[in-house]
Amino acid sequence: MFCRVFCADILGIEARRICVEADVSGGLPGFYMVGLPSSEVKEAKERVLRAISNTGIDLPPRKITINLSPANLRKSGSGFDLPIALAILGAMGILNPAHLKDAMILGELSLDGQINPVRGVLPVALLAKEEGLKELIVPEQNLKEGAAVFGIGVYGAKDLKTLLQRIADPQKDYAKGEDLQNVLSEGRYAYPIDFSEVKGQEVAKRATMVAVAGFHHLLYVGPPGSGKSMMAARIPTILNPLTMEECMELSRIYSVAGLLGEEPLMTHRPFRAPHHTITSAALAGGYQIPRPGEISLAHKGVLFLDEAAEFKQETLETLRTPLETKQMVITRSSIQTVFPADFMLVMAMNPCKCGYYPDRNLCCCTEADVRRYFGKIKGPILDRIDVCIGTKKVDIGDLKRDDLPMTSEAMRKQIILAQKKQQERFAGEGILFNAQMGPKEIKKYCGLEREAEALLDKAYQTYNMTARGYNKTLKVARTIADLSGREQIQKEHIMEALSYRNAFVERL
Amino acid sequence: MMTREEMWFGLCSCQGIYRTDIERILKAVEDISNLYGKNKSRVISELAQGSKRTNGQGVITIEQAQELRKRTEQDEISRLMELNEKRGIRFLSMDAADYPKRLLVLKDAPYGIYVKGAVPSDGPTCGMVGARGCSAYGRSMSEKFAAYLAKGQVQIISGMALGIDAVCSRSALAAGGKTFVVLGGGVDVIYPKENTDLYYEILMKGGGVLSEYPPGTPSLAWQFPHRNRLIAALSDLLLVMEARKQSGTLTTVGYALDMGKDVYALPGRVTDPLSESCNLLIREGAGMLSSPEEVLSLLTGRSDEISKEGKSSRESQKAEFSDPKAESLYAALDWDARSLEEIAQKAQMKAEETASLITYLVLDGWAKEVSPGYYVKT
Repeated sequence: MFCRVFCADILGIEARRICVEADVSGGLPGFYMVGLPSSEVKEAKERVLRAISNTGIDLPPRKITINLSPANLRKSGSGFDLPIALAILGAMGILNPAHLKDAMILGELSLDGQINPVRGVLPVALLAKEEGLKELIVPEQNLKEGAAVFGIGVYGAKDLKTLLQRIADPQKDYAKGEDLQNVLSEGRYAYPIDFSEVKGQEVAKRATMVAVAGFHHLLYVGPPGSGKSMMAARIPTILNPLTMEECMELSRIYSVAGLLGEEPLMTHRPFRAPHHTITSAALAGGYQIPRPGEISLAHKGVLFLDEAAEFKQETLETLRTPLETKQMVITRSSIQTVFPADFMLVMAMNPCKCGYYPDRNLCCCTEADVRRYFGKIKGPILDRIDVCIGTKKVDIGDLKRDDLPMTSEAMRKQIILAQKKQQERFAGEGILFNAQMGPKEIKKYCGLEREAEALLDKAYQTYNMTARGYNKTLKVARTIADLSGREQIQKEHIMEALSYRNAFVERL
Repeated sequence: MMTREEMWFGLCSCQGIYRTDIERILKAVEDISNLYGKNKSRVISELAQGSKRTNGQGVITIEQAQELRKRTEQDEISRLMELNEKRGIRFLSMDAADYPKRLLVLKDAPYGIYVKGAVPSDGPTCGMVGARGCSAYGRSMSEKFAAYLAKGQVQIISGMALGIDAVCSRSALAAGGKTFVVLGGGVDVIYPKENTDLYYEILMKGGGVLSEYPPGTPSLAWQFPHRNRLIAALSDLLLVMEARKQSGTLTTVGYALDMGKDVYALPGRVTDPLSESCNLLIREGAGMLSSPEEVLSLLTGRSDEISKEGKSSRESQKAEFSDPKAESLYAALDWDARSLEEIAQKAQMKAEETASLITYLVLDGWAKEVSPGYYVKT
């Protein structure tokens, strides 16, 4: 007897359809699995056989052959347990194979027949819908995630026994997914933190707002206790809401990484703050079967590198390509995987190794020390930072000030307006934000009046700026003009942009 | 026949034979020419083994004697002199006409010095020394004083160390003046590396690099206090710009006072550790640095020559702005680094306004960014 069911395997953030074929025949009793299974898939044998027997089904001693096709691709993951079990039961005639011909099945088995959650349900659900399948059977804990995809019936299986009962007696009581639009607007701004809690940092907050409005990468420099991390953590509260497409793309990444948890989808823009001891592979993504790294988990959100100067040189270097291409390509001998990685880079660092320069009462570092410390972040990374701002140590007076500091809501409103302007401007240009402008767009959209141009020329001479620095200033000035609602970049916009430039890049 | 200058060169070019060794050698041989006479070999052996003149005690070690024997050969001297000439290094013995007269005041004046570039002329000189890790205040004051003095034809003497020393030399050069530095190693050993550009600029602009150590001598920590005595001796007046407690700068001050030279210190706030030694010096009787004009008149007697050309430095501090906002922002600045946030709070201005106007002040030369987001007055 023979039975075939559908299952899927994850590669990058995409799912591939895999057929699980089971054949039960006469001959010496045994269990054979072919089709390039990895070791966790091979181990399915023990789990499947024990789970079936513990569900109260006696398997007659027969020769069982399992084939995973296409046979030339390496299969990995624990989601194959359940399809293998169902294929065997189908081939044995214990259940009717016809009931499974339009279903995609995914799940890991416990020895007692319980069905455990797996990673990557969302891309599998999307694949099942694309392939025109009618039903998706996933572990119960993954139900919400699967149900986020409309147009396919999703059933959450608790254990093998109840699943078999349901297959024998087909019903259409599928879980109803939540309305995406609803989910996005509902959970949108429920942050427990707010920018108004950051006191006495109005200049740094302004710089943060400028950076976010134009999707410029940002660097905070300041002594310990000057609110760098506190501000960075609040950046998600002023980001614009995720669009549906962004939400699906981001959720796929999190689904593959197994980080969705109880949530059906990622409804917030992510904020990732890896510790400085992180390895290159964990930051950029990697391992034998490539998994998304922190840069992909920060997709459409914020990647925050605190104590940026403490990161290993080669770890920071891995950021170079993704910052340029907005994706991470991981190549292994047999496969190539692409993870999206379009993030806003936010870094924080001290101005010197003791952390207090230029306060000479506390800092004894020589200028060479200061320069050396700054030199730890190499030019190619610093070069991509458009906005750099010094933060000051907060004193007791700041904490007690009772004037109203800017709230996240006020900042977000301004940012969304400025971003709308950008989107209108760049319609059809293939870019979304000012930070993404190339020389062509800068020429087109950053024209200056005579006075403003004269000022920038003077700054170019005085600061001994580079061509890249010149363009960065124009891009940031464009964002500042957008924030103030002006079509034309004014002199004061240029001046403000100049104060956010990273002077150290030029001095080194 | 060897000239006396060559004889001095041979004796002073020995590696590992320092001024005190040379002093003992000369005492033992009476006259330097005896080191180069017919029985040179015996004389040098006796230096190491002891003779009647030395009460049977050796004055140098066997290694030093070997070095001396090698360096006093005519061939070796010619070779080294040629090499130095190629590198643009001059040797000046105490007897040489060019030897800086100011050094002769020292009880322990070097028997010979090496010079790359020029030596200070007889015109006024002013030593400017201070901390390596200086504050923004010390830096801007040093810039101001060095530039003003250099414009007034005063030669700035310093040690090319990081911080104050380098700032003074750089400002003097930028103002079109001359500066001379004394190194703690050979004149061809650029120390610290960070000031390589400064080293070449000094030479290019008619200044000079001096050292009592033969070329190639590494800069060792113990040599720096000895180097400081030369800085003190070459300076008609010594200015201490910033110094912490127990700073190495104080050795320079000590030498200057021993020679009866005037020492001026830049006063600072009592809370600033970098002004601690300066304030202490003032209490102990050092002059208080208040304006570069005063220093210039002390050195040259012509007080207001420069002041007539334009505004005096004190007057020029009174900035005039067409924009009242820029004026209040300028008023919020200090000689000490302040963050943009503090400046905004002091001037009671909005963040975006502050960020914008500060660029105006920087571009017009009223303010300077010393660290990202931190500004000082200039």
